[in-house]
Amino acid sequence: MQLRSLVTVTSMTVAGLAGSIVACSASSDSRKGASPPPSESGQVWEVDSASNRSTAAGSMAAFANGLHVIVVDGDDIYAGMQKLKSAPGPDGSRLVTLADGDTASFKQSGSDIDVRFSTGETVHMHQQSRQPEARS
Amino acid sequence: MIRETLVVGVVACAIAAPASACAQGQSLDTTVVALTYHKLSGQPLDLQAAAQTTTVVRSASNFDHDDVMKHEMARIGAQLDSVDKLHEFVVRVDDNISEFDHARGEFSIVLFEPGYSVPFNAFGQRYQLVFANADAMRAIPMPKDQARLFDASLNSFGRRVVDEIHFRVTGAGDPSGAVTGPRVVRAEIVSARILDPSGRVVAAPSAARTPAATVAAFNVLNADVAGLTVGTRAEDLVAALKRLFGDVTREPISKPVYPGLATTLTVNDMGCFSMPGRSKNAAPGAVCVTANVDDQDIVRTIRIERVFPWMDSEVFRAALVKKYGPVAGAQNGTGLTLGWGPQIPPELLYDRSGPPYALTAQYVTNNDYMSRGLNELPQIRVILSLVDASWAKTK
Repeated sequence: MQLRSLVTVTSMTVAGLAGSIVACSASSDSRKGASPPPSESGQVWEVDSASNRSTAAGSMAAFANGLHVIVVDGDDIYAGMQKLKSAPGPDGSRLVTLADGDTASFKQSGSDIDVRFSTGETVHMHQQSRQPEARS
Repeated sequence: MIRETLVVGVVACAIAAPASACAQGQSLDTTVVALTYHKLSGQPLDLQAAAQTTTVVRSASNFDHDDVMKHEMARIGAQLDSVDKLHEFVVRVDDNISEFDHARGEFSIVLFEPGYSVPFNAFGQRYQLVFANADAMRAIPMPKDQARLFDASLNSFGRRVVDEIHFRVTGAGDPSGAVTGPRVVRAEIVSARILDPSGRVVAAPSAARTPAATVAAFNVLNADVAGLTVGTRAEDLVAALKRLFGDVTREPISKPVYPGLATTLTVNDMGCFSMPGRSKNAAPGAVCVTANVDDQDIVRTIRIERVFPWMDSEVFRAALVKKYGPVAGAQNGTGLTLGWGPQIPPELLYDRSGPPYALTAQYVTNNDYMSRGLNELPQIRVILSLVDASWAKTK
């Protein structure tokens, strides 16, 4: 039952990820938009296989851009305190434009998300198992 | 991280104008390169020490020594004052062409890869010459069929080539952060030819613009570290940290290291480095955050760390230079530290051994010799730190 519930949530998340273009919210701060992720809605995803050396370059690129742990809430993707612009990509993927102008493609792969940077690095993400309320 | 430096060229010369011919056999005047570096970068040149390295001073009698020293110091000082900042130099460097990279469909000019420099001596000191636009000229792309013939040709002379590089000195420091240390001379290639041992042109890469000229200037106000920013409300940061990483500890600062700092926010305190003998040491994937908040509850400094399995520091360097652009400073000691943005008071940094910039990135190893096997590679800890430089300036 628990597994089934998890799979359902995952499917909804990725379906949402592949939805329409995200409208970026304006920030009240004059600096780079400070948009903390929602406190409850959406799901937290994190880089998979942290000890896998073959994906270290992808993990490093993800960390540099705040994509090592993200919140996906419908079409919205939050990296740290940034709400990222995204657009539909090929094959049902979702394209996010990074600060340096490169892009990262998010695509469903079973219960995981495959992230591919336009510079070639790849990394897998899985849904964080801890629930928000358990972390106060 | 820092790769081998190449042995400087066999034949080098300096010319006054781009169109002038290079006089074969004439040496590159490294003193002029060094003087141009000091002039452009503002890095001081110790005239007394420089004068002491000259032949006339060393060969002067004790009776004349002081007078000759004064004369030489004045001469070098005058030479420094009259440096032509646009002087174009030519250097020839012994080099190699790499094996064909089948994935990328290209050969590489090894000297032009990040981390390579041309060392030279002047005034009794060692300098490292780096070409800021070299990486963009590094590749010799070609189709596989053509590459096979080119590769055979390269093998016929052992892949050894001479890079004939026309360049101008533009300042100090390697914008890629890969070459560190004192007296790193930043230069821009004006043109280059790659010659085989018989002098035949193997490749003539087009001069690319220096990244510093093409990448928008780093703006610390818009910077983030792993998505986290300063100058924002503490409650926004706490909300983000709780959602992403878990519990956030909030503690007042009893003895502020910098005026105005009132509170520290931490996530997973001490959880990202390994201590010999500790039962629960850091594992890859661990994330730690420490932020300092001022008395108005605004985040002024933030540091985020993550533990990685072993990876080459080149992976770290490339990812961060890709994001933040040319570095303002770099240091290689116990690890590699890169810096961007304005300089800040060092006391605002957790690790004060590196260059004190508003944004710093550190690559260090997590050494845990008690639990790690002798042949096991160490974990890597990457630390990103951002300080609200504009706020710090007002204190």
